[in-house]
Amino acid sequence: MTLSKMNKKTTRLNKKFERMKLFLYILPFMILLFIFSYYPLYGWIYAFFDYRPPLALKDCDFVGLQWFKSMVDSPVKVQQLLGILRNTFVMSGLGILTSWLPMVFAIFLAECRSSKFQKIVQTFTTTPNFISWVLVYFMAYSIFSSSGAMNNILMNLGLITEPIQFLEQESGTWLSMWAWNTWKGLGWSAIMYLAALGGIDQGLYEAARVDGAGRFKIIWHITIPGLLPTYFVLLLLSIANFLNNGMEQYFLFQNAFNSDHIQVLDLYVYNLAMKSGSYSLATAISILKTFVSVILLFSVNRFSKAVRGESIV
Amino acid sequence: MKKGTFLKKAGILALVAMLAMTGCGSDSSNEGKKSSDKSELLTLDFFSGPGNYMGKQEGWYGDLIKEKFNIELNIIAPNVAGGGKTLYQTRSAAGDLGDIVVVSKDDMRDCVQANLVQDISSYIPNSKYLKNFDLAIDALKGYLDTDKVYGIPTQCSTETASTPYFYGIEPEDAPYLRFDIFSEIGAPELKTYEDLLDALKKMQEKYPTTESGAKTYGFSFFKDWDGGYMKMANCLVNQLGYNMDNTGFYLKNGDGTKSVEVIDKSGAYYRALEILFTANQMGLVDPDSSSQTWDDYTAKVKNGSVLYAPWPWASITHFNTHEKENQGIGFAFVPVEECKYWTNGHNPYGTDGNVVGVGSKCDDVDRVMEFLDWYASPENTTCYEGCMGPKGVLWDTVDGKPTPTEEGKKYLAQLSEYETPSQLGSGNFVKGYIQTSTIIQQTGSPNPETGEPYNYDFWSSIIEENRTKLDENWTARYGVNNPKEYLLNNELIELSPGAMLDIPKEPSDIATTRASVQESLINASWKMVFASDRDEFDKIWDDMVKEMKGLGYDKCLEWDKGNLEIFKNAKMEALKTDK
Repeated sequence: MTLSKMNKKTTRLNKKFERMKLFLYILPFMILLFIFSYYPLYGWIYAFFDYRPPLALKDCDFVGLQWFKSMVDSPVKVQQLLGILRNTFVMSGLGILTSWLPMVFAIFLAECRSSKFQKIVQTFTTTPNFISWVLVYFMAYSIFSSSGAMNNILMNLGLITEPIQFLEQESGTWLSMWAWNTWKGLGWSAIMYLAALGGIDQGLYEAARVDGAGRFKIIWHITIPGLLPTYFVLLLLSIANFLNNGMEQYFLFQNAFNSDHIQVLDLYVYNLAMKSGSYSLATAISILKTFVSVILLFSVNRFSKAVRGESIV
Repeated sequence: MKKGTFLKKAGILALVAMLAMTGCGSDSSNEGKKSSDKSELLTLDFFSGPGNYMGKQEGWYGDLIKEKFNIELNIIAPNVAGGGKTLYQTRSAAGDLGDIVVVSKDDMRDCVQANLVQDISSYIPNSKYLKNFDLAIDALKGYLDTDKVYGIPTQCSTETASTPYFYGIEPEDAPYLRFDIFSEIGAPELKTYEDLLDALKKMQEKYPTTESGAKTYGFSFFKDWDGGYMKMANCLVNQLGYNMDNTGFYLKNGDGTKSVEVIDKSGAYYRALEILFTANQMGLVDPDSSSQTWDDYTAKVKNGSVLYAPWPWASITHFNTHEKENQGIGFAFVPVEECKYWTNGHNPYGTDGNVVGVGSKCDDVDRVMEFLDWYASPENTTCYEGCMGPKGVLWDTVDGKPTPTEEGKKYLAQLSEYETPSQLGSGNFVKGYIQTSTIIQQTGSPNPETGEPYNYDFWSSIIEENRTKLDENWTARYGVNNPKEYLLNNELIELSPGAMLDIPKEPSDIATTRASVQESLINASWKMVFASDRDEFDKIWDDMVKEMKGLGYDKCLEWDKGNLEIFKNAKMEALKTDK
């Protein structure tokens, strides 16, 4: 055996080791992923049983597709389900339509000359993200309830004689929910863009300035294109979460008057399944949700491929 | 760097991840040793479905059972843990609820099937106190469909089933008004609920704001307790002589002989909504009602901005103090002629529908049963909330009647501030009561030693001695000593005798259908009360009926029909046993 042959062999071995090493690096995370994302799919089995704790699953009756059928077995139920899907789509849609807001906010923030002012604004807009929804609702209640600050001010000014029921209004539910959500998340979502801003080549800016571009021209031709990849990744992620628009916010803000417009899928599952203790029905609805989410994700991915020539998944 | 360390590191990382995972599932229950030796301290996990306290039983009662049985109680309460029945479900799924288990009768059925509780039949015949409750125990056997004893119903009364149960001297479901203001407007006679609304309007005009400047309202309610119906409407249903408990969408009278559907326009539920709607039109309803919680509500009662309440424990308990009552200020029952107040009879089969059993993983059943037997004794019953503790300290018998001692009088003056006297232990007295919210013998039923109920609110010595100006004013207006007398003399109660209701377990498909139908009912009820005019009121009702039918109302009603029949028969049976 020549020396070079031996060398080649060691390199090959080395490469194998290298690959093994890399694999071992990600192994723990694959295990975690499996445990938290794939193993729970086993729980889908509950959708086909009449599961009632504390009985073990084996003691419960197998009911086949009963729960899936019961979701749509009367026109009123179908109508209700459609209404809930409408709410989910509208509220997620509003979020997605305005998902460029944090980007614009980040750009303007970065353009601020005074770094002190910039820091203050950033701190104040990021803080709401860390306030739980329960406290946010408490704030909303103390400001907007019929004996809250807003009504007191309006009444003292003599603008109204009877308190306005801000929280009990059916109209404007979608918009007010979106507004609360944006207020809470805007500063936080801007952080990602602020980081991406730092990654744009400073040379481009200098060149643009030399060429005589103004501030808005620079933003339009350099900053925004530089941020767009980040924007698209975040957009895709949020579309994958289209149906998961959470339930805490809606759960807290719901009441008998706005329920027709505030019930989103997650809240519906909670209201229906947790109140009657039917985990099986809840599971059945969640399965449907998963399917719809996967379909949405792939169609957006295809769309992105067609428009930008790049796909994510 | 060497490859070996890399591999090692990666391996360790993976291992740690795995361990962290398995750690989640491992059961870290402390295995108690099997022994009947009393010299060893025994800590019992007391799972209490109705409990409102979590942790070790402290205070004088804790000292008492430690001294008597060398037992400590570790109370586990799903109510405190929050999340509804989550704690019950997770613990039962893990197969161990606790050593002593208190759950509803309904859940007990599942617990027996899932082998979470054990058979204690052999202990009952030799027991000293438990065997006195054989009527309840046997009925529960029938309910659980077994010939073994798995549990003992709680809050069993020793009175007959047709003896009406009062909250002290007051009915549980009835109108309570601020009697001082009601007197100021002349304490008019109230024929119908509309008269009551008129009176409330006058009271509100007389007293538009509280001392602190808050606006006053006749009605204030909250959504926390909306279960199968809008709670406030249900309160009025109860005052109109009907009730919806156990019979789903049927409203029925005391013995189940009269019944009406909830969506019937001639029924009490519609009438209740009508009353609340009218009240709102008159400006009597607190606009915060739909968004506030029970806590906000009681705060408002306390500061005087609510003039009406449907329960004594929501009004008198929170607003009245001895001082105020002596000035003639406070809530008091006011009769409305149209009403017939739903009043439950004493229930020898258990009042709150809960059952106490012994967990299947309990090791020292002998000691637990010895303790549970004593738990049913009069001595233990005196340690429950609303009583005065062991005889001889806060109370004693004088001429055969229970009477507070000097210490007892001190307690009555200080109540929640009262410190435990040294004979009993130390710390706050009220916090030292039994904290499990579970008692086998109901405190409203008579103590065989004294002939009067355990609860001191019922004691003749206290009722006579504690009369305040408010009571005198009330008597001057209505001519009798107290509401109980008034209601009984005028036959104004709708009595529902105590009975064991053998309601079968609802199939899950009906339960889920019911949940959505109920939600539709609740949402529409709120909208109706706050409707802008009569047309809107009726339109929401019509839409609601349509929606409820579409969601499967009839399917639920079919099921409820069976329960109504069971209800009727059980009440009849109870009356027969009484005689």
